[in-house]
Amino acid sequence: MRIHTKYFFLFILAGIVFLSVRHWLDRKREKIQDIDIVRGDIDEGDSQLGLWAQKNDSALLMVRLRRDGSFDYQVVAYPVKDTLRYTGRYRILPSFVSNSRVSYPRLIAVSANGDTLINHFIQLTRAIKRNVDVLSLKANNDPDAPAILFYRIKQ
Amino acid sequence: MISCSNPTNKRAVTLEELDSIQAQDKIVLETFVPRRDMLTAAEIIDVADCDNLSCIQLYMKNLSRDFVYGKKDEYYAAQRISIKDTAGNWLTLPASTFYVDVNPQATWRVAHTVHTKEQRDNLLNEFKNLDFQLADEGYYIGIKSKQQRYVSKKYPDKNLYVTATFHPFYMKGIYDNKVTWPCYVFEMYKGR
Repeated sequence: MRIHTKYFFLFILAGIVFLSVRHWLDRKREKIQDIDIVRGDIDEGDSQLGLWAQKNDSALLMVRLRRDGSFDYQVVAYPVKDTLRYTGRYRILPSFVSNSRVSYPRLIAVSANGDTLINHFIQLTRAIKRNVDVLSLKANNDPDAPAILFYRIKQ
Repeated sequence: MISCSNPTNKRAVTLEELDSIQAQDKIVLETFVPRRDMLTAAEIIDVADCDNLSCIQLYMKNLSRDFVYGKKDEYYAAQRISIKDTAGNWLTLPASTFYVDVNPQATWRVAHTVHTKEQRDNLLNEFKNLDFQLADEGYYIGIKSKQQRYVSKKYPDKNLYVTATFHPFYMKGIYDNKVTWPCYVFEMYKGR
């Protein structure tokens, strides 16, 4: 069977057009609805965006990382009357490989006052067996180091 | 299009479901968390019966949840503690270590080092419950500080040496550079 080269290229072109239109529409929707869209079928390097939360014995921690580089961190201590709220800018330093080790990517979140709230190595786990993404924050670069786990919350 | 739901929500949960998800994870993680920070007296006595490194390695393999293998001859407690050293700095280090020396010219063989006075007191009490009593004190096994020797009628061939020192080992493992926290070393030998 002969393969028609032009149909193959048209197919590729259609794919590119579809992805860029969907990308553009996603960004427009994000602005209008104030949500963060991270697609599961294609890895655009933005999987850390969104609303993450952890409930522990003393408080509910919620972190929202936005696409424009700002973050929104809330600590809802029990009783629910006490809520601390911090906003600021965050950066992700990418992982690097050196002679002695591989480093995880780093999340550094600095509040508007200049306090560094988060300075941890992060590890993102896409939903594999269950339907929830996990963001884990580690203080050290060790694979064995204890990590604080945050779970993705619906927006 | 605008009213479509966020496709990211397929991989997210609500705050109410968060509790159950976290509980699920906790159950899984609990199987890996170390349960204690040092060896028990019974284990130290058992290990002293070993004649060679493979015997010790086999024994420690069963304790691998609580003691991780660092490198040859070095085992570290999986649990880490934060202590304040003599200079007032906070250090985070393994709760205890278990080192072995197989060099023929070494003056010591097997040593369990703990890093807080509470650990030392607890471990010593465990030995005292097994009828270990102070026999004498002196400079024995190559450590530059005085060691106390304990013997027990229940274990007639075993000698327990306990010491507190800032120089536990010469350039080994985490005691490589300046050691600024007190180390309590427990050594048990069969027949010497």
